[in-house]
Amino acid sequence: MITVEKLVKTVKKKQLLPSRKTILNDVSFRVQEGKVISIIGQNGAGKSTVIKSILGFTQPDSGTLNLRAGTTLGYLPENPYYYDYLTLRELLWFSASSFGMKKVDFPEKAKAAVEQVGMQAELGNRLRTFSKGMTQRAGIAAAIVHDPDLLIFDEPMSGLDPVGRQMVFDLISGLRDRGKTILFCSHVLSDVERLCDEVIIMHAGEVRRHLTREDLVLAQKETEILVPLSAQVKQILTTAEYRFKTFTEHLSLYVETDKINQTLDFLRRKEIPVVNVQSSAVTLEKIFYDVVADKEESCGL
Amino acid sequence: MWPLISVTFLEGVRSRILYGIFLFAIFVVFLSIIFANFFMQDLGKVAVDFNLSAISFAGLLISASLSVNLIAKDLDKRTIYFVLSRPITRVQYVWGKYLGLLTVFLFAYLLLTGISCLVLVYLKSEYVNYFGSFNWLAYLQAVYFDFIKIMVLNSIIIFFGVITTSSFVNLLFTVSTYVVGQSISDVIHFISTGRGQESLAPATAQLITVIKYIVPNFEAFDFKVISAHGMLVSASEFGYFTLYGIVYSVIVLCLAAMIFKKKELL
Amino acid sequence: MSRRISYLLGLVLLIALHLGLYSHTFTAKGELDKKARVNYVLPAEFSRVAALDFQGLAADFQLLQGIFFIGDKIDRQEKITALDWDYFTRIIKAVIKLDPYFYDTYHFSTGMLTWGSGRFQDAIDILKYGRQFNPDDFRFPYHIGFIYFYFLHDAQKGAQYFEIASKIPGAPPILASLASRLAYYKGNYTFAINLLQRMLSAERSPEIRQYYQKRLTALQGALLIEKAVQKFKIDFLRLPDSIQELIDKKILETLPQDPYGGEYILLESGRIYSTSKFANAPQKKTTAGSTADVGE
Repeated sequence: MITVEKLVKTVKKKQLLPSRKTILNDVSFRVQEGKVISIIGQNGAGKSTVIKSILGFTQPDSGTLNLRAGTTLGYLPENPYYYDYLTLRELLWFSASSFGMKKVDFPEKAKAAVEQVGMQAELGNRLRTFSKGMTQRAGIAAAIVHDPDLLIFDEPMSGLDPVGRQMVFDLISGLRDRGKTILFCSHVLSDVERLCDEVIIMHAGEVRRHLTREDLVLAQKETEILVPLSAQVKQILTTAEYRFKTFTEHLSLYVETDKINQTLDFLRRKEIPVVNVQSSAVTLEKIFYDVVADKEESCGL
Repeated sequence: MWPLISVTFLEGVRSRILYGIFLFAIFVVFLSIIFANFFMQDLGKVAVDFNLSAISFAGLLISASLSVNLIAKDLDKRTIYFVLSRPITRVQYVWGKYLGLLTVFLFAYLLLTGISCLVLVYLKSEYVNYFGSFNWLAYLQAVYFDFIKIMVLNSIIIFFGVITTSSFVNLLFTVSTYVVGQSISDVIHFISTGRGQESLAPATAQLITVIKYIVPNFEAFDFKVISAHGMLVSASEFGYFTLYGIVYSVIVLCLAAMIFKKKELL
Repeated sequence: MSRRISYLLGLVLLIALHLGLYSHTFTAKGELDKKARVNYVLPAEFSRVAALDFQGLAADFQLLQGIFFIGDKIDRQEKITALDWDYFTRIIKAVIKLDPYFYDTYHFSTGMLTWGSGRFQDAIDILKYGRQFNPDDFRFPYHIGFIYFYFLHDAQKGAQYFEIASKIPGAPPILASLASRLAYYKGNYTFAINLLQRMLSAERSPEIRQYYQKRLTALQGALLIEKAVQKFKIDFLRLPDSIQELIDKKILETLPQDPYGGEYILLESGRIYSTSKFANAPQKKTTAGSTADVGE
């Protein structure tokens, strides 16, 4: 549905001596129809820029961007502000009518949209009176009122309380069940992990990981072995090409679960004491932190 | 584009600023009843001066508050993303905002003209002998041309709005353009006199000639004095002035749309 | 409850204090401003540009400034100096540049400059300037003619302008014959009174009305005595020796007062004139014009 290839984007740095800063560097990915894809990354990693490029708000320096022809799109901006002098109904009508919806179809569609975000009672109220969470939900309603094929949500969970968050969670899974393609950015990694078919991890303007659901499941099949930290141990493990992470007092060794015995044997042979063996929750969060800490080599995926 | 026009219209008519300006203008209109009494013969002229100035000033105030903030607010509060993620092109956005603004002004001008006409009807019945040169058509003619002026001014506001994200900078640019546009014909007149030719450096004179073609000649739309004395322009002049206003606005908006099309909305 | 009352009482006191302070500051500041008044007029070249597209309104306000300045002096019966009239003339010349079509400016200023200060040429200049912009308004040549005729005793020029005025569409039919009639009736108080009464009835400016009214009273006084002289002539077949004789013979009940402060005198021809020459005593300039009422 969306194909992004070798996207490069630089911006002028406003300094005494102007220089260019790369904010997207060779970004490529593909969003398939009916999938839920999330882009995660730190602030400034380039997530929003990718989305804004897809929406045409900004022109990339090079690379191509393809959106399947005839795709209708629903977009929820980050920290949205809408025309707060409008009522929710007028906001939805603005959104729907700009997509060419007819007036006769509108009441039903609007009702469906507000029901999904739990704002049936607010249709006639001005947006000015809404709280941050309500505004967020109103924005989601405006993004889905015309029943688009592709939904792009920028931080849909931000500003929401736990109940609202659950509501959005249910909403996205409901949309997924109805076969919609969804691309979203989020900081709430546990939600991302539970919702997404694919996860793109961005860092410093680059796509560092593109994980599928299988990758995530696989990642959870690892075991973590803790050994005391010393230069000698580190040396041995590096030579043996183990993947490990250094902590303050120990090293964590990551092995696939079926290779535990083999590894323990190796450690015993090298007289390295084992402090603990635990099932490694190399969940999304862990992968994400590794990427952010630029420790690609230590985490095997 | 219709959704955008109607939303912009709602933004205008639901803005509290607009009603503050209305109250002010209506106050000035009623002031004309008092001030007319200070004069002796041309009471109609004085009443028309006050009423037209009230409408015109209200137009300027709405431009300086509502219009100047219109695009700046969208860019600043990122509403622009919400709008442009719909099938609304950037060119449509510029035109939609502009036409929406014009509907707000149309509403404001109709309302204020209606009120001022009521006051004039009252004054005219009260001082029937002193409304000699008064002419309803001339009065409406002045309001009409003031509206054309607002049309041009707002195209310039939209233009500066897509260049700068700061509404204050936009306001400064617009006010400068307005002042220059109002006085340019006086300046040109001054240059054409012998006194001006002596005192101005040739480079300055040339610069002014260039400005003459860039900045709109706002004075061309000032029919307040003429209308206050009941004079009407000929049909061809009427058409000519109107066309000048429309052509200028369209050029400015096309430029604005071109710039906005290339604008990075990061 | 008592707290509420004392609160209200305090409020009433404060309001009373406010009213007192207000009226004091209002008058005191007015006095101060008058002392510090700089009789400066914004040059029209500047105010034209500064007023942007509000030139009509700017003209209204500048004219008001002039009307209030002179009107205030007349109300207070202060002496209007030559400098004051210079200032007034400057204001007017700025206003007519701002809005050359505004008839009030011409009307008020020429009224003031002729009746008030005897600056006839200034008045004519202003009217001639206005005529360029208002060629279809008969009032401009009419007033020019009036000044020539009435104040400057230039019957030829006066008639010339009356004729111009009478040919402009919309001019009152009476204008056509006015020149000849004025010439014929020169010195006839009845005609002058009728003319003044007509002008007075159409006049809204209190300052100008005041001038008309004063002249009217003076002329009516003269007319009254003149009629008594006529009666005396019929009764006694000779002219009275003095106005006093009219009273002594009970033909005139009381002696009318000359509002200009002069005394009515009996001329040898039997006509009545005044020692004030129907002009405000200290202003010599106006005396030149006033004899028009009675003829040489």
